[in-house]
Amino acid sequence: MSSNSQLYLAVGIFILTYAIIVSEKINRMTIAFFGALLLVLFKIINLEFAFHSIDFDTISLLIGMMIIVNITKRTGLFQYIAIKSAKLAKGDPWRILIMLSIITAVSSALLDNVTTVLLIAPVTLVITEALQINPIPFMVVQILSANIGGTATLIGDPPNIMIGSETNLGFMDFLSNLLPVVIVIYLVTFFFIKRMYKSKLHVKDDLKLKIMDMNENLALTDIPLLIKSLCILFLTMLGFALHQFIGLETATVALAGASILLLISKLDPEEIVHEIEWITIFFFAFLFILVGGLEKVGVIDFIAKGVVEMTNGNILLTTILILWISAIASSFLDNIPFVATMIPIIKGVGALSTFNITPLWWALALGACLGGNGTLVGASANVVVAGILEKHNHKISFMEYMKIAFPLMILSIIIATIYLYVFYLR
Amino acid sequence: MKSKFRNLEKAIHQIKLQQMGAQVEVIKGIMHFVRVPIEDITIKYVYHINNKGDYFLQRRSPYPINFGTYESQEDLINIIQRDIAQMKNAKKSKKFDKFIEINKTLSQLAINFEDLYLDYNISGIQTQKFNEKIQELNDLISETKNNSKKIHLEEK
Repeated sequence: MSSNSQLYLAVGIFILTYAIIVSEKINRMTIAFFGALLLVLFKIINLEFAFHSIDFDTISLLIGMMIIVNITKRTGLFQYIAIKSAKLAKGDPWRILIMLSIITAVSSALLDNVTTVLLIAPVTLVITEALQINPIPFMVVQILSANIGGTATLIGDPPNIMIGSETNLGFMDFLSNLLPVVIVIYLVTFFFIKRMYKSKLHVKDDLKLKIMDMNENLALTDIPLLIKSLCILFLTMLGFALHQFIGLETATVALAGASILLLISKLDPEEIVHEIEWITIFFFAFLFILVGGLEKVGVIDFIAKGVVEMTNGNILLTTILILWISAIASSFLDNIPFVATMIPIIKGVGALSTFNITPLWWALALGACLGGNGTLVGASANVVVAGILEKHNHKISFMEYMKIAFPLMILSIIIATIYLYVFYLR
Repeated sequence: MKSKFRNLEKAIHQIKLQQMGAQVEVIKGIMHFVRVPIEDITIKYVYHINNKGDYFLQRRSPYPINFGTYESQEDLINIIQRDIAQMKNAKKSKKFDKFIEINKTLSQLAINFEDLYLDYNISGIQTQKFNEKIQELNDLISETKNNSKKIHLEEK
């Protein structure tokens, strides 16, 4: 097959796969698997190249963190924190909303967004049911908090994991460069949330007493396991903070934490490993193969050249372009395939330009993660929350959510633009 | 996504039950629904295999009954096999429909009695009356057993 035919075929397979992923007509892993297989069947890449294309750092980090979370969540820690905070808020719905939002944002910075939402949402629903109050404001705020919080660290959101794995940027680089702007965005977002919801959140005093009657200690199911999990979580976070100094990849740190916790927890490994989201893991793997195919036929280099020509090698323009395109695209599309494609393009831009491309990585991280807030399909956490609400007879429509969240997302990207301009591009 | 929603529902139930003071042990397992057609009726069972290796068996139809927990699949299959054989044999009888009706009434009676006991303050005299009636029924069962020929399915 001529190289031109290979090029057209690879692009065709990629676009078709991407379109089906976006349409959600077929499970995203199933179609990514099929797309990757077609690349091999048409001899655009061979099996060896396919395996080399998989970013095992990203995959390992995801698996490691999933094991740690799967073990820790069995202790009831997250329910304990949520109930305790609701009681500290004295059952006042607005204060509870603030508390749960902070817990979600912080947890999301340290864990995957969807996992965080799945841990906090059940308690939120029990609390709002006890207070006889509409859970939609609480859940919307949790979506926003999860996506904003997840932006702050290397491990908070899959796009950041992928960026960290493909660059020399470490955990502390992400924290020191993204946390300040994330805090500002969170506070500004909350200012508007307050204006939108605070006056609507009132309940009778006798309902508040129901919250005060809840016993957070009943949520803790296994104290020895809780202690072990907290120790390993702390050590893992410490490992992330120091990984560049001790010369270990973040994936190694996560796998070490997972392995030690599995060893000392004495839990059935079959059950823990079974709970890993293998569909997500395989989706990542096949996606890396698809992007690897594009790289091999030269499409990525072609796009990178196009970007450099379009922006005339201007770093300000390139950064702003990446930030806004990432944000808008991630509002409507799955940000994982988008970022997987953008990473080699940015690397290509770096190879063709003379400027330092680090701001481009921050633009991609901010755009892809914060963009997820824009619509109800922007991030997996949003889809999960919408599904949860619908199951509990509190449907939130696409437009209803977008009216609240899209302007807040645009605002967050404006703040990110200012931040990048002032601190990196001026 | 389905498993995420299922886990979430599981977590909600768990929190509510824990707040009631219950200890909740989550054991993963697989549910099996078994249907055995016998002429115009279907005998339905449900059993659950869990990671502890226990088998929990219930019959759902033609009337519900708890068979309990078994440690081996051999015991489980034997119980189902014996039950089907008994049902097939009973089905030949002209009194089968009446037998099912009585069993359903007895199941309903147990529910009605529990509602009465839990929702009303019943006098000692009334409780005694219930005891006497139950004793009468037990006596009737013994009397019927003594006056009837036992069925030995194995011999058939």
